[in-house]
Amino acid sequence: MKRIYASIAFILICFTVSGIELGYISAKVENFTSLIENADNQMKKTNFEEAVNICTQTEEQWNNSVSAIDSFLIHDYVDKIGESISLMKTYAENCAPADYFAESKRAKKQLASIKESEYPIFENIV
Amino acid sequence: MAYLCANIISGDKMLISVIRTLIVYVFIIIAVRLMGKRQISDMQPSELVITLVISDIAAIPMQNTSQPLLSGIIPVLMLVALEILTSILMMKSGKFRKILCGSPVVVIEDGKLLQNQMKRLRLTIEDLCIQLRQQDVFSIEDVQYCIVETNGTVSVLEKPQKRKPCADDFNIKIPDNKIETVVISDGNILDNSLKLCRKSKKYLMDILRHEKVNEKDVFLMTLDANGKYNLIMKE
Repeated sequence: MKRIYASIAFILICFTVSGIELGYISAKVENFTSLIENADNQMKKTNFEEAVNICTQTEEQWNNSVSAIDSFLIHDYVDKIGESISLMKTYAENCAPADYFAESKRAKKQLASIKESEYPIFENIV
Repeated sequence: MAYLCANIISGDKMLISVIRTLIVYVFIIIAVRLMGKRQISDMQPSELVITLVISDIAAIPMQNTSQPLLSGIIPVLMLVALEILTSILMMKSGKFRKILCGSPVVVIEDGKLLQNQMKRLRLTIEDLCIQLRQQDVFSIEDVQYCIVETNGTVSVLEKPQKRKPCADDFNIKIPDNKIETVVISDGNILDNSLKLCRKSKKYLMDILRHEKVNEKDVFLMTLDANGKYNLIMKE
């Protein structure tokens, strides 16, 4: 009887952890995507100082969240996003909008990819 | 020294592999224990699949440090839970057991080789003879019944003239020696074994006192319910 309870508990734990991971990653991706878009808007208005501030804030938040995100996702993917965010900040500081937007697009794509790959849809399962 | 500390803090891959291996090893031991003794003995097809898959999945985070540890632990946890539920279902439902494990198949019935059954099992005569020899049967003609079990092993009943005679056949009464168990192993008293041979610790200590030995100096001691014991001292 104990084993039945244990196995049901394991299944519940697995689904709970998976649900938490899905919710957490989705929330983080949305947050960082909106921060990056704010920075993009500032860069479009050539308001480089404000864009740098937003990029710095984004980088700080990313560094604070990265250890938790790393425990759920493949570390290489997470590292690439961190690199993109750092490069975005550098390009904003150097007032290089072309390079900035290229890196921003890459960062947003990477974030979208990690979010979409978490959903239990047919393409991901197969 | 500072460089070494920085490497350890930032995550030296070799050290991470070592720590992960330790964690996964402990986790797998717990998982196998939870799945029960069925896993350790002859396996049904579903159990064999689970064992192979668990070992493969557990190896992934050990070898690849960029994979999160959870990617190994969560699937193993699910597999353990599913295996326990499956084994319980198999216990409760004969139909489910038949679907998952199949049924034993008779390949020799009343001394006659059932070739169509062997074809069904894709079992060659050479394979069958190997299995029979492993059961100390060296001639098919000696076999009355041969059954291929669901775990692939073979059970053999020899013809009456070929069976080993037992005490009943000669009308001999053999005294019951009960079960002999190991009660002291490498200086440690095994309480479960004492229960099995229905003797108390006091009885054991009396024997040791009589033999003038200390339990810590005993390498091996066996005891049966009739009080017969064997003592081997440590060298």
